[in-house]
Amino acid sequence: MHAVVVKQVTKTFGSGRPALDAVDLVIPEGEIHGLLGPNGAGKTTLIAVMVGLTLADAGSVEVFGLDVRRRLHQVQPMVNLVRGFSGVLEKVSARELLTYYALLYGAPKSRVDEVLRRTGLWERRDGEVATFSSGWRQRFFIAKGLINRPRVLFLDEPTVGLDLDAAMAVRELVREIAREGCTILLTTHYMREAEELCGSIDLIAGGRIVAGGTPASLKALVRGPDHPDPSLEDVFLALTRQSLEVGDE
Amino acid sequence: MNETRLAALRILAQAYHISLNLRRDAFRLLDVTLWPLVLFLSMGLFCQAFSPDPRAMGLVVLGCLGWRVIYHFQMEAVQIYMDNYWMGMIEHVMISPVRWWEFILGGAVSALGKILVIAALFLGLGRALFGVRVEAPWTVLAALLACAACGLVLAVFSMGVAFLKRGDAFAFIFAFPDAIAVLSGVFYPVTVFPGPVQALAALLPTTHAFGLLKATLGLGRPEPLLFLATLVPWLAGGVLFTSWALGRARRLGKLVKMR
Repeated sequence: MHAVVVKQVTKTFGSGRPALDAVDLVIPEGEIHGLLGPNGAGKTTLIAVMVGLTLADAGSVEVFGLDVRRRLHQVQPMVNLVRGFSGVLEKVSARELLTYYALLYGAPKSRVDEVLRRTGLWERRDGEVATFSSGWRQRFFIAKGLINRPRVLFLDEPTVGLDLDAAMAVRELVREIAREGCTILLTTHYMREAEELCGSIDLIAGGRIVAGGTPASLKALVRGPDHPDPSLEDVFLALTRQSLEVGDE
Repeated sequence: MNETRLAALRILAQAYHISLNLRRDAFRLLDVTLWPLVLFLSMGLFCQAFSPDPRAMGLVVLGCLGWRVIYHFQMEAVQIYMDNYWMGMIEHVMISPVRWWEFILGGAVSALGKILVIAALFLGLGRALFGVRVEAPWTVLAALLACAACGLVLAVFSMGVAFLKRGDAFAFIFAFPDAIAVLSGVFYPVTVFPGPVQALAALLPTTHAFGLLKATLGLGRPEPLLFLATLVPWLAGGVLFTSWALGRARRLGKLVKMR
């Protein structure tokens, strides 16, 4: 079964050009799926549409066969979101803030302790999240993302701004979460991260999916005299630029 | 876990959120201490200095209390939403199964706690400083519940405005209950207003809720049916407006602080 199926989703804000333009996307269950694109490509808008925070103008999104628009209240307990640069309440501890999120999902109190341990935050459970370094703060948001045992976890640039050690720790956590059967959609600007973690990848530019497949199949698309042994960065630059040039015409 | 229990936990979550905020920000405690006392003492001392009628002093005590009841029952719910918005946490809340009316009921739980503190202050000081005694406590309680119902109706409308206007909604949300209280004759009969304003005031449930409070002091007749007749349409209108506003906010991408 597919975890998420996006069909012909279009979204325009105001009178500008579409933020999403007839997007089709499939996330297989149990996989880490990458969504890569330059700034303003539509990654975050697409996530917001997939989790029901924003309604598409046209098209449909299904999460485990449930239409997000019509059955949002049933979809919501199955998904969660982790973002880079999220804010937190000041002067509130990790445990207190997680308790708030646990109550929103009807998760038992024991689940708070479970995710604190799971993300390595147990020793800092009574520390103020607002004073955490960005790495520890991101662990907190992963803990928050796991609080409802989501079947699909959306990770929107989870390692942005993290130092090397913190980013590695977050990537290891992501792998562990996927091993436990959670489907993950990951957006990132770090191509190596995507290659390391993702079983399949979609490239988005100008609100359109420009290519999709495994990292190997994407590389095959641009392999040639210019790129005899292309990296994912070569693929990204070639396909997203090409698409934007076509779009501008 | 059944849906009723889940909804109860989400309501509790909102009250818990307010308790976290109260603790982290001492300024919020002024809402149940300094600000109500400023209103109460300034009105009370003014009345003591200029009016020999004990009913006027009674009206100051009950009017201040009714006003604060409306304010807190309106404000708490919206405050939770706005705090989450300002802190950049709104998408983490709105992605959950929380429903808009659960913010309002969670806010009501918190409002109830705050009003107990304020009522103790006003009634205690009213008696000690101004010799005001509540003669019919159950009737006063019923009138205060009517004020609470009005506060909830204002909260319903305010949630809709918050969904649509986000950070810009704040000025409206703060001004709304106070403007309504003044228009509803909190310390005076609405007959002091010009005709068209009186007609407008008659359409407000708050006017009739204050009327119930005034009647406990022998100032006018209680009109509970008129109160209900105005409350129900306002509530229905608020529910329709806020349901529409939430859908529109979702379409416009306003439930996320990201684009």
